[in-house]
Amino acid sequence: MTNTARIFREHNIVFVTIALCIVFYMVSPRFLSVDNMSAISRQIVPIGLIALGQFFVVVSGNIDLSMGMGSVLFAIVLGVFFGLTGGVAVGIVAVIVCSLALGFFNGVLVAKLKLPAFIVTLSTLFMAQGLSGLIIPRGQQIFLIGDFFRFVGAGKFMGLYWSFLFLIALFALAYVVYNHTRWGAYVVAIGNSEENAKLAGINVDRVKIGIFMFSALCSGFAGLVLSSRMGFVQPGLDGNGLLLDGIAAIIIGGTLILGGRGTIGGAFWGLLFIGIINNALNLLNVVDVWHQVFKGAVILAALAINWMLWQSRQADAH
Amino acid sequence: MTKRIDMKGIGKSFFATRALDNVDFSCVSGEVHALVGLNGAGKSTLMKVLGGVISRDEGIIEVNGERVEIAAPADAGRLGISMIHQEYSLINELTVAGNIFLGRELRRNGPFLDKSEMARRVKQQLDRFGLDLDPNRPVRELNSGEKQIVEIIRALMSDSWLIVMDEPTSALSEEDKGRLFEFIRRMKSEGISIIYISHHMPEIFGIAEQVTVMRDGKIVLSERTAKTTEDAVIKTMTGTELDGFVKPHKDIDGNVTLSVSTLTKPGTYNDISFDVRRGEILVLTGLRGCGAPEIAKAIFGLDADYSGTISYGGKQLKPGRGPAASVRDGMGLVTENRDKNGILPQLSVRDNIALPFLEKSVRGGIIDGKRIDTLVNKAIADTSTKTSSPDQEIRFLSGGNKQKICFSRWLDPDLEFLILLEPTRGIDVHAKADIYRIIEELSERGVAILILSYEIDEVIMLADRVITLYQGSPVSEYTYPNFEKDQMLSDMAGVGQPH
Repeated sequence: MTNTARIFREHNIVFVTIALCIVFYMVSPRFLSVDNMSAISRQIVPIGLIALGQFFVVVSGNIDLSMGMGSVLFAIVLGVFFGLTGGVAVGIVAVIVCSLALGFFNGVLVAKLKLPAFIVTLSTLFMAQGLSGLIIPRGQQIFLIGDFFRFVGAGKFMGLYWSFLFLIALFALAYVVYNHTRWGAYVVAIGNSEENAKLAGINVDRVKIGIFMFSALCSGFAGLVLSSRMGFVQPGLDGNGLLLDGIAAIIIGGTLILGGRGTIGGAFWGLLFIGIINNALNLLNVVDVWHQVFKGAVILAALAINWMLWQSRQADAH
Repeated sequence: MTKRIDMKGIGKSFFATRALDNVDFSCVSGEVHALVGLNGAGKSTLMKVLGGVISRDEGIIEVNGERVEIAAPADAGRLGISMIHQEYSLINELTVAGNIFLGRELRRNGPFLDKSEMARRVKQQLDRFGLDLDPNRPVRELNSGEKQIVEIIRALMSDSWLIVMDEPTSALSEEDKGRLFEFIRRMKSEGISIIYISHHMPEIFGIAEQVTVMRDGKIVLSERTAKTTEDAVIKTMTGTELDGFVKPHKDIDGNVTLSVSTLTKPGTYNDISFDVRRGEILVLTGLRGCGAPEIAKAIFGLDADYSGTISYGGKQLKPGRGPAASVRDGMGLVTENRDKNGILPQLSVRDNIALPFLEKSVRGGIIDGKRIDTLVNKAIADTSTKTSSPDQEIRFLSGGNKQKICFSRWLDPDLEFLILLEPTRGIDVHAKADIYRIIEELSERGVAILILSYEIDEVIMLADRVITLYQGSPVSEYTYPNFEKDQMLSDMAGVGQPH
């Protein structure tokens, strides 16, 4: 295979995303305006946090469905603690503690009791949803007012949103952890073959619990960012939509849904892809129902390409 | 010559079976010790005792003259003993160096992996053995031979001085075999000891200093390879348990059901030609990797990538026509891996048996349950399958009973030609007898049967005709009742083939 073909094959998401930008620009030049780019950068932050946490879970051969409704629950936890005490720090500590607790719960059930992650996290998804409605009845909300929330929601540094910079920093950190620490290698090893990872002397259970704690922590941060941007919290937020956008982002970015393979860079481009589609379809005033259909079709096309490339690589290897 | 590992008087019983009986086995520094024997002779039991996978009943193990206990695989690893299995235990998505250091990574500046140092040390080892492999390549890009090298290097870098290789060449190309043997020679010169399990006489006499033959749980020969011959080894391998067994005489004069002519797939099988007549049982045999399963796949329409012709009922078959077309024409196939390709594990015994008959049991679009029940009950009775009820889930049955159900699918009166791949692999003696009986009954009914078997006793018991293969090429043909077991084994093991 020629080098160009290889580059295209391994980084196809980059080309697809750029092509999509060109198409949207031709339809509406406003798409590439500084204001709109800046809007996209802020919109993708919660999805990006979900994608990042989910990335490690999926590479390890699992899935965390509780991330979306988890964010909603953690946002409410933030609102309640902030509302009761007026202290931002108390609220943030509560979010961190609660999210790590949920992740630990998921992780222990998956690692120690050997329950399928799909079932465990589907159950905790419903629990998180129920608890959210229990704490704040539907239709009510708690306002988050103060400098800190304005800073997280809309603060800028040299024209870029702080929340976006925070996301970039987190992706960079994840890149280093994934590629340059033992933990990253163990996540890949477990996703390829739990049995072989065990044989190599890896404490598989501990790594798995850690993965679920990290993903839950990411959903805690996502809840914080999302609610700060809106200025209030309420149980009716579309947590599952957020979850699905996050999963779509990493899968489009070349993460194998079966586990064992994926790159942080790919996940980031997948995130941009999802962010651009969400934004452009709004910008072009596509009616909401068609918005969803179109998004589904584009994701399907991107996934089909990825899957075929993976298959053809399999064929090459034999 | 000091013995680095010395196993003395090892005994092990499984229920009433004496799997190892007072076995003495030792290895010296820098030598290859070949361990041979038929399936069930006790080779793998002995190696499992050495590797700490199973515990022994009697005997002692010494390392460098000191008595040791090997109670778990980790103990063996700590003592410097590594097993290289046929299924690799590598992580495809990590690099060569990443795999070799998996679980004991080198780090610098706290948590960060020292990738360059790991790669450098792996490269150093590879160079030491004259191997050309990039430590930074992902393992998924490697072929079987290269993966094997990574496994061995991993063992050597965890300070192993005894490497056990179980049929290491079974999945390797000629080129990779050459490289492996060169690697083994270098390991010997570095003082590494190797236990080499194989049936290939040219390999054994090419690289081993010592050869030990096991039969029925005992050592029957242990000799320097320089002082013995390929023929002598073959002779001691074979038992006498089947002497006196007479297969009933059969006249085979029916029409040719299947005819294969100059079938060739480069690197897999060469120039294969044979006919199978109505009621005839033709057995293809050889060592693993002899190409017979691939021939069967071509016949059943699962592979289009061959030259030569396959005719069935007088008509030439289109390459790769698919199993659906084959079954429609009255062919059947029982695979060697029933758990993967044979049964539907979540379904009941009833549903598993009924599957191929559903199409013929439909009345006006509705499945005729009564008819299915009759078929199922008859199939269970005919095959003496032991199940608590037809509604039992098949995954709870024993291997032998699962295999009988795979057979019962093909008791269809329209069946004309049946392919059986390793029909009794991993099943107990009683189930074996039932399966042999079913095969004989099918043959009496006029079904032409093609069997692949690696077990010489089974080959002789079932066959009307035998073709032996070595590395994809036909070696010899035997017709009932002129089966010479020793000669057959020699042909299968490549005796007389170049080293």
